[in-house]
Amino acid sequence: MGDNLLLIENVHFAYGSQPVLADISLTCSTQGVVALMGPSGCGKTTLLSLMLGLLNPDAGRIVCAVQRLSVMFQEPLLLPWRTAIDNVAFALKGQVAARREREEKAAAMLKAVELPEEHYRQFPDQLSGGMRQRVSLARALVVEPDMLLLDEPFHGLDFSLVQQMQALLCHHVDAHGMGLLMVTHDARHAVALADEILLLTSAPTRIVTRFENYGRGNRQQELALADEIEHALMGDVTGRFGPRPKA
Amino acid sequence: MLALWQAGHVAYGSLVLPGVGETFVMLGRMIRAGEVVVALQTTTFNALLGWCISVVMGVMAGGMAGRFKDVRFVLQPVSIILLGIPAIAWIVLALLWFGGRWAVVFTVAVATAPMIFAAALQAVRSLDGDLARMARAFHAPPRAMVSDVYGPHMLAYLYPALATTLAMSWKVSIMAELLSGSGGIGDGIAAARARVDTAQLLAWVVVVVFILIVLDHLLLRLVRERMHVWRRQEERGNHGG
Repeated sequence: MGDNLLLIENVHFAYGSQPVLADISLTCSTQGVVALMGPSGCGKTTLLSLMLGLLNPDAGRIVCAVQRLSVMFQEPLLLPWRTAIDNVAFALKGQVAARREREEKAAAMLKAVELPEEHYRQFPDQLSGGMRQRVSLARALVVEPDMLLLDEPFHGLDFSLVQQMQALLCHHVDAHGMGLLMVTHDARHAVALADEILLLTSAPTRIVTRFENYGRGNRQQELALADEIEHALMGDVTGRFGPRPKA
Repeated sequence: MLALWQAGHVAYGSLVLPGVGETFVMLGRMIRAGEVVVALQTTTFNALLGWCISVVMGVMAGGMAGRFKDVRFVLQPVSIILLGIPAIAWIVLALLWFGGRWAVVFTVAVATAPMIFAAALQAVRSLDGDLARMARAFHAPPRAMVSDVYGPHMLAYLYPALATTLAMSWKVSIMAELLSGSGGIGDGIAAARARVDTAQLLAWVVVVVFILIVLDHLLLRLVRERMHVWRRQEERGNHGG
């Protein structure tokens, strides 16, 4: 693990009078992979929006040393009126690049996510769900991010596609030093990728436990940890990992 | 349809319904005399100018009303009242207020603007916040926000209203010209009526129908086919919630 890319310190956030996040602290470093897990609606997506700068924290601070921050949303969120290649090239519109250069980079990234070439000029409606997720991943990676945020990236995808996408993400982490922060409901996805897993509880969201350096790559340990996390999430998270904070 | 037309001519005679050949001979004569070109230019100018004013005003007002609740509260009842006033009433009023060609342009604008307004209002209200969030996350510049995110969405909602009002602007323009006597196809029809020249009147109708078919095939169909594929998803998304 290298330098800190993202530092979140004691962040609080509320929608009006409704507290959503309370005292959240975490860091993500170069080549670091952090997974956030918690019950539905516990504010994980709000936390991602804060990291993206789409929302501002009420208290605490977010220090972002990232030059190119990218994101893959839970839904593909592709522009329905643009083809697959144009959707990927859209992510480069914020950079100084000619149209041809944008298209070349987009095509190269679509090839990397193994989208067959005959689908490059098709609209999202003409693609399957898995293909749309590939396009969404290609759009996230085409900006060559030094930090990538993933919001439920593998939701509803079949096993082989999940493995392909995970392998591609691991390659970008290892080869390009990309930091990765993912929100997921699936403990197996978390343990397969993450160096650090944070469990959250809701109303308002707090980090109730952290798993670090648990031996990623050891299949037995991964499965045991995934089971432990799933049990914790299915039961009362706070019962196992600490008292429920008062809202 | 041509056979039915000809059968009607045989049944009722030339005064009530001139034959197909007779009408096209008259049309040829009018084209050679240069009447058709001049009238087409005048009507095209009136219809397109009125329509463009209507689009600019309708999109601006509808966009504001879609974005701001207070503006919607004020403008929506006005739009409903304007929509309820028949075009013929506007023509009479416009003739009193402006007279001549500007009465025609005004009538076209005021008769079509409420439909554009309603479509623009709906377009803005249904803008997809998630797509805008995605675009902001990728630091899309304002120009890309307009051309890639908001523009195509607005066009999808506005297109049916734009196509309908473009055709309507021609018909309203001709009707207004007929009463104002300020040139154009409507004026030609009025002159044919005064002379009880049914063949000439039908020749003008042929010109109008021809222009609307050309407009639909050359311009509107191209846009419609381009939008067809991705609009299916829009419609499914809207219906599916």
